[in-house]
Amino acid sequence: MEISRRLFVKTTAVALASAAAAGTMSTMMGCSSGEVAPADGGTTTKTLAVCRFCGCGCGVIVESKDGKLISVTGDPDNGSNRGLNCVKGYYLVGALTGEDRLTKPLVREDKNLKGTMEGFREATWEEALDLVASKLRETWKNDKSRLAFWGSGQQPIVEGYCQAKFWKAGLLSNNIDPNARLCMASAVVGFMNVFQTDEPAGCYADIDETDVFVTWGANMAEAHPMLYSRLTARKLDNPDVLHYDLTTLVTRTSATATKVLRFNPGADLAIANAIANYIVSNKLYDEAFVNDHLQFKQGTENIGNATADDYDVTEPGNTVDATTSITLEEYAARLAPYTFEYASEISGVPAADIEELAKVFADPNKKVLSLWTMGVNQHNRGTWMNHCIYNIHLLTGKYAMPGNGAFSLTGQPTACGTAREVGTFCHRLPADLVVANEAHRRYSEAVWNLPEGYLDAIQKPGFHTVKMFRELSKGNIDFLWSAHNNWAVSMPNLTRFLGRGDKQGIFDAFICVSEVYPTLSTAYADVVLPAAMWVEREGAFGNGERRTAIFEKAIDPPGEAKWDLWMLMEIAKRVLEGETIDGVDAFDHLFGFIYDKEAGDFLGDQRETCRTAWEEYRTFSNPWLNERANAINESAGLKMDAKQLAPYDVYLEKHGLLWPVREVEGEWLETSWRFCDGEQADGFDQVGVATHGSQDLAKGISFYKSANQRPSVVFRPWEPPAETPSEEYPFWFCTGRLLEHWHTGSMTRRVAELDRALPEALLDMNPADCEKLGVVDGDMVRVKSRFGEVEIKVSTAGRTQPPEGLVFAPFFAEETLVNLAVQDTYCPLSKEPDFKKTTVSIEKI
Amino acid sequence: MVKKTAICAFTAALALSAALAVGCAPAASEEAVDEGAYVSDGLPGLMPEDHEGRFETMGAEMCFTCHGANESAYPILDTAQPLPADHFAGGQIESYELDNARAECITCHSQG
Repeated sequence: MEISRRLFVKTTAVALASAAAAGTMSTMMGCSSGEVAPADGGTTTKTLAVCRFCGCGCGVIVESKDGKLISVTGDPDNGSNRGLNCVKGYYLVGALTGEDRLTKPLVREDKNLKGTMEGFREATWEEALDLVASKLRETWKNDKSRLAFWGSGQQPIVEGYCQAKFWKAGLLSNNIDPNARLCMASAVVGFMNVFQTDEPAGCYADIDETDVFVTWGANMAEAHPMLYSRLTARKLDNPDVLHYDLTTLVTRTSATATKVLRFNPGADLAIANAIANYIVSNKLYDEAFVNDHLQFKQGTENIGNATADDYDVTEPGNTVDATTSITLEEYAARLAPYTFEYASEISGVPAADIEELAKVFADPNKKVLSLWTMGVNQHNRGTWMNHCIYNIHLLTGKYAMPGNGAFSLTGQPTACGTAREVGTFCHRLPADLVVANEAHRRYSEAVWNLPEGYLDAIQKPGFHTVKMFRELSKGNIDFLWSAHNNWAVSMPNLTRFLGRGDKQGIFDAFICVSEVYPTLSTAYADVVLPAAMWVEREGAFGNGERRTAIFEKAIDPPGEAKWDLWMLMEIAKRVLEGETIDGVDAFDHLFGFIYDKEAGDFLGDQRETCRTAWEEYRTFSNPWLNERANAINESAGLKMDAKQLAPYDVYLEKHGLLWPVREVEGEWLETSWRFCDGEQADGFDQVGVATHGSQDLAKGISFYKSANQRPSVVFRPWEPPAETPSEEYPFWFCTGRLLEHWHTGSMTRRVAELDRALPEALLDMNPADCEKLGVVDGDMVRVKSRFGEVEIKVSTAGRTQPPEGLVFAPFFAEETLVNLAVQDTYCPLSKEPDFKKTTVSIEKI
Repeated sequence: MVKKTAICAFTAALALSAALAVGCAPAASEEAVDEGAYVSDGLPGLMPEDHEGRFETMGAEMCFTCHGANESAYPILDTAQPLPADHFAGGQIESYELDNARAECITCHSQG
């Protein structure tokens, strides 16, 4: 065969491409991790990991050589992404190698320079830890309502578990909350209200099975790119598959939609109620499903808006969680005003389009998958909107089955695994348990071997995130420690919280920030602790589809950067010095099983430490591992095994698993569809239904965690946004994420390619609005709200296409601090702020 | 022509794959890694400046028109970067079709 140069070049290219694909085949054959010796003599190691960034939780293969990362590629054996990746994931290596990594502890010498990275000096770990621990202990002993920890949906599971244990059992404080409050709290409260168990019934595989996608306030193409790739693949593979995009502005996600239903901000509740009304009034609901599975409720209404500091203690604030039972007929009567025409009047969406979508939901032969993100959750009625979506799916029996589901997509890699599952919220304990429930406290005491009644001291929830920062701004917090987040960029109403208004508390509090790079949050710190990042240590994430997956340590952290868990142990041992629990040294009681406080080191290596801590944590979902816990589980009917987790090493072997994970004939099997009866080996909830549920109910579903095994359809009316455009503030201001930058950009902006692709935050505007204001692309404008103002450059060619009267800006750029102008009004039920509906004025500078 | 390419390529790839499967070897590209740098030739390239707006207006099919393969050429446009095999339907270049899971080109290939 004659081979020309061109043919040779092509042959090589194809061979390399094929070999690259085959390279991943090795992992498929069980060689997921290990060392190999390439021809050049170096040693290359492949390790398993999960992407550091969004809630998709893509499994990745990390390749390192000579102590440095070489590449990150999609893991074909991880069921969440099946080898797919996005630009952020591919360029992850660069996120670890920014030139300004923090490598030494920093102690602030000049408090007058707070707000800048000036006024710090390098310190030893001993000095920094002593200082942080002394300030925490001093505050704790003086008034523990004045201390706080702000964590994250990016804090790995074991670290979050130990942090929660230290705070709740060690300090007996509930002043701990994660940044997941900003993105997922409405989903959590929705799940708990409706199903009495957190997290979705279905999984990402629903995307590959459904007939109709309905995206509600979700720009998946930018914020959940891998899942959007699966969505578009499903649609391209099956031309009959439909996609309805309900949104307040046209985004990249709208590009593939069959129909875009662009609605006025806040009107989604009216649209959802109109759909439910059509289904109920025309008796198009699934009667058997309704009869077998559902109960109906209504709740407190006219609840106002949580803008003022005292909202939570006002009459509506105190009663927002209250519900009463109603009949289906009463529910129908409440829905009756929501005609298509009325919903159209409120939303601006043509009545015919709402009717078309209603008929799609009502079609018993169509599988429908609702997907939503921050447009629903970051909403002054976020919890209510979660309810409204579940209402439609439950009425039509389109839930918890392959292709039929309602799915709140998480924003962060372990918002589920850590923030929600290990209990770093101010009202929670691990595994869906809450501090206010006596049986839950008894159960936690059993797992943690605490005296009965020990946790009664924390039965009242602590400060939720917005409350925490409001109290900080008022000078009511003396000690704040934050990790795995960048609150000085991501919090709303930063004009207040950063002390740029009349509230100066941030300058008086002692603030410790664990970080990997200098950020605006470290600029407000008194001590900065340099942290190991991502695969510089071992950890685990739990993603949006209930998949727990481990990332292995691949390289050492730079300089003196340390594992967060080590920092926690060292601070905890200092703070708890001289304290006892049940006559035993308090630190040893809580953490002696993993850490030798005299030696200042863990008892085992990182793998062993994670495994040991995991085994304690998984006792929460495997009650039979602890006799005392098991007895409480039985007597209180807690059904703790509904979230059953497997032994640590199984997750490595299987490249992640969806809980509940069941041991069947010696093999640990995941559950793709909770509550849906069927073979466990096929991903159905055979063990859960057999153990706790009822078989032979409609569609083979058994909601065994719900009260009386009946989820609640809760009527929630449309109530207007906290503020609406006025003469003074005529525009809606919506903020969000874009593809290339993860949250506040503290990692992705260190990657040259990502920075080049999206170098600055622009204000996307409608051309007609620009013309009215006399501004053109590139002009600087001042965006001003009741809360603050920010200067930003205008674009009519940005990623989004807002309608007249609405503008959009991403929040990744600290030099364009959009959150200076964003309201901190939150959903009264979930306490999650509404980042999507601040009203603003815009003027050319 | 393209058949010859494919035969040669797949023969070479098969040999490499077998070695990889046995020893869990890394992809063949690592020799290109610069000591101390984070570059890897496995990274998706950013779209060049003159591609601004092309995906948004014309979609993946148009990308394939240059970067894909047909019975007579791979890549179709001589000067275009060829799509790797795993971007083709079934992982087979000879399918001459884009894998639909890869149709959101800008998910990985941002506009540079």
